[in-house]
Amino acid sequence: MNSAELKNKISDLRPNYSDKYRSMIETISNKQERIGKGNIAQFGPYFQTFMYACVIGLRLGNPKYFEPQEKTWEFAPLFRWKPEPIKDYIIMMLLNRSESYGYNWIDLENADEETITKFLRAFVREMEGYANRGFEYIYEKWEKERVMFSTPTVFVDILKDIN
Amino acid sequence: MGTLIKSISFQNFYNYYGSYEDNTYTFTEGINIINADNNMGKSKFFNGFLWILRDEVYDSDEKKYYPVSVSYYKMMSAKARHESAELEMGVRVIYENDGKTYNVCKSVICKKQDEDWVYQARTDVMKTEGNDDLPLLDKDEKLTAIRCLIPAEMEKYSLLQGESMERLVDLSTLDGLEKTINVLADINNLIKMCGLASDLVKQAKKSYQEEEKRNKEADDGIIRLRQERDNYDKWIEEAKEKIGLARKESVEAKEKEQQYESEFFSSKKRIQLRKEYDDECRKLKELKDTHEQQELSITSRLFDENCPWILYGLDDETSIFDDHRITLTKQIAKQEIQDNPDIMLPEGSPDAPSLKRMLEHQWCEVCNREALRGSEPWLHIKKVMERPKKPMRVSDSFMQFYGDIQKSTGRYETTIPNIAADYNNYMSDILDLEDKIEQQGIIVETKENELTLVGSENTTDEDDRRVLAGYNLAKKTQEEKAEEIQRYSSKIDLWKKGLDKVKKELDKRQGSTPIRKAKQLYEDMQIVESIFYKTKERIFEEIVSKLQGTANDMYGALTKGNQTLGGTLNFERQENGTVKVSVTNSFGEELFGNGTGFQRMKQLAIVMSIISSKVGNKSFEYPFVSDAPFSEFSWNFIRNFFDIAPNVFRQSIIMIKELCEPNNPELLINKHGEDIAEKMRTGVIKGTFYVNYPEEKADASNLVTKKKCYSE
Repeated sequence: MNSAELKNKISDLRPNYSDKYRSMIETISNKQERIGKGNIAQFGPYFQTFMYACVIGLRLGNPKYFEPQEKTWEFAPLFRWKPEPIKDYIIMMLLNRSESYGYNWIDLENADEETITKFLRAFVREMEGYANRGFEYIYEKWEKERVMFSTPTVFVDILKDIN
Repeated sequence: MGTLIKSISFQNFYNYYGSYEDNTYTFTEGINIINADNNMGKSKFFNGFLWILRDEVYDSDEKKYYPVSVSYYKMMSAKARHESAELEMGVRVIYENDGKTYNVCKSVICKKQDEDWVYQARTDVMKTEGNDDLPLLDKDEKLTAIRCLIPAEMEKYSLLQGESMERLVDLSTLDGLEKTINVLADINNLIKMCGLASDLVKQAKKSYQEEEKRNKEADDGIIRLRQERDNYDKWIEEAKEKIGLARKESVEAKEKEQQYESEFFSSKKRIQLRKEYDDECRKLKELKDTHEQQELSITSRLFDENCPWILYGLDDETSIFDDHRITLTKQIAKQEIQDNPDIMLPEGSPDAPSLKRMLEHQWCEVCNREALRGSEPWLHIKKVMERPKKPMRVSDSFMQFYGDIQKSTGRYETTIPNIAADYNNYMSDILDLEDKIEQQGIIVETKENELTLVGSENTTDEDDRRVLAGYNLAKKTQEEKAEEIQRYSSKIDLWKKGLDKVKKELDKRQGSTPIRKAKQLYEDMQIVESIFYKTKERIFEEIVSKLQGTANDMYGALTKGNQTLGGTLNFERQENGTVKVSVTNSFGEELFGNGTGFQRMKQLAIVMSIISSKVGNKSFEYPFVSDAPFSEFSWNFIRNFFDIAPNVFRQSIIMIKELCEPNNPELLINKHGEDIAEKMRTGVIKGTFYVNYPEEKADASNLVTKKKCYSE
């Protein structure tokens, strides 16, 4: 498998998110409302919410994987995610941590199809784990400090609050 | 002759709670002062007189006069209303006029039925002459008796409200001027005589023309001259009528101008302020829109391609990634060497035929030792001979993919460290905008308050533009009418010359005695008419001149000691016959911009001059009753007024607040009040001095006013 093929495989990945955050994700991802006008601050499409949660999870560390049998929903495949460089940055961060989920880059060189498939499965699981951790963090604030979601700077403030 | 008010009493009237006996104010000749702070019943006191005289009350909130019949609920004492479902409210005034004493009481029985109040009003008038008390039962008799208090035509000089003082005396309308002159000189008979003389002129002219017709000797030339003369007469007459009409229209336009004038400056101000207010609101909206856009952009900044805030705090990732790539590169190289060590043999190594020979001979020529078939040295020689001819290419690994990722994300290596500063700048811009919005909000609020102060709540922009248009039209009409008068006057002069010429010619040619006699009568009547009109004019001129002199004396006395000079009052006859009162400086230039105090003082000076100029009377016959005449005056003005008033008014009843002690509610009057009270007690100033004070603290609707007399 060469670089182009790996890139395509990664682009086709569709990470999942937990059902328990669905309502919150829908509320903060609704593109129709304008920030500052309604009661709740919102931004962009669903995949950006996912990217945001993933970055928070990566900042926090300790991915939180889905429980067995946990009900989940699929996000858009990665090739739809925009902006491209930010998506690549997230991929880069996950590749930086590949050892933690059992892969050294050198192991992937000239690896067979099965190895790469396993790697990709681990890669997306890791992505979901970090995003899930991020959603958990946002959800806690959502539940306890809902009022902060009425300020337009909430999503920046959350990022800034993470040490 | 003349009226002297002995007392006024209130019962459950506004905040005058309780019986008439509890709320009686007795008065004497001289100055009678009712000193009351805000809400302590000055205007309500004044309303007592308005009820008696006009069946009206003045609503200070709405600045309008209302008939009492629609104001009973407001007029009732709130305390009495809460205490009982049935009460009597009223005002009683006792006054002397021409040796008779009148006791006038207007009252209303107020009853609450279900949730509504019903009212039953009555007017009681008692006339006492000597020892005889005579209740007046006839409605007209009652009205006549009430009018003895202050006659209707005297009200404008006798009953003054501070707020409406600017429009007190109006010499700028023919009607206003004529009424004023009549008050002073009683020239009604003269005016009648002028009318009579004009009728006589018309009759004499008619007789003269009939006599001419009876004369049969007239030739064509005479007939033509008569026709010419009649034409001139007719044209002159028509031109005079047109001048009269133009004057009338000019006066009407002047009246319109004055009606609008009081509104003009405030309307103009309001229009200007509304424009300024709209501009400031627009600026505020722009700032708010910008602020909103800024806020809206905050999440787009999270995913901004160049400096995405979402990557805040992730500075090291690109260098970690780079380390991984370098490691991978090294690992790939190492692995290739391990897996394919002989791809590139060192110089001097055996070539392919040599290797083939070594395998066949089972002898290593490099080590110069045996290499039996199948042994390790033999297999090594075989491996070297069979090595791949081309090396593995790096592009077959994932390095390209990692390279692409690195290329795509590389830009963030320099931008991520700037996110914090970028965010701070952004927030600083937002805060700056919020500051600006707050400041702009204050500006808008200030403009709004200014607008409220100039009465914008009660008028629309359309109303104000109508006032401006009306004012400008009135001004324009006056100019046009003045030109018209001028034009017709010039024509009259021209036609009069022609008429004189024709008359002379006619006199030469028709000389019969009856015609001469009729003509003589006509001319005599014209002289008589002219005498009456000139007399009337002379009286007007004299009175206006006298008024000017006295008004200036009064004005000077009232403004005495003031730091700025108020100017001189100048009474000027206008083209349309009215009088314009202006204030001029020492160079004779009109003075504008005098404060409200000066304007009111000017009006007061004119009133006082009219009162003291009355022909045949040494002092004014009626009481001077005024509510808050000094509300815009300095203490200097007030003191001057107290000095002059006794010389002008036999009796004045003044409601003021200027003698209150605002800083110490325990002391009801200030030191000026104390001085006046002392002068009254020692007889230096004739009069009475009451101070109203609240029974206890309460809101305006529940106040009960008590009084204390300082002059006894």
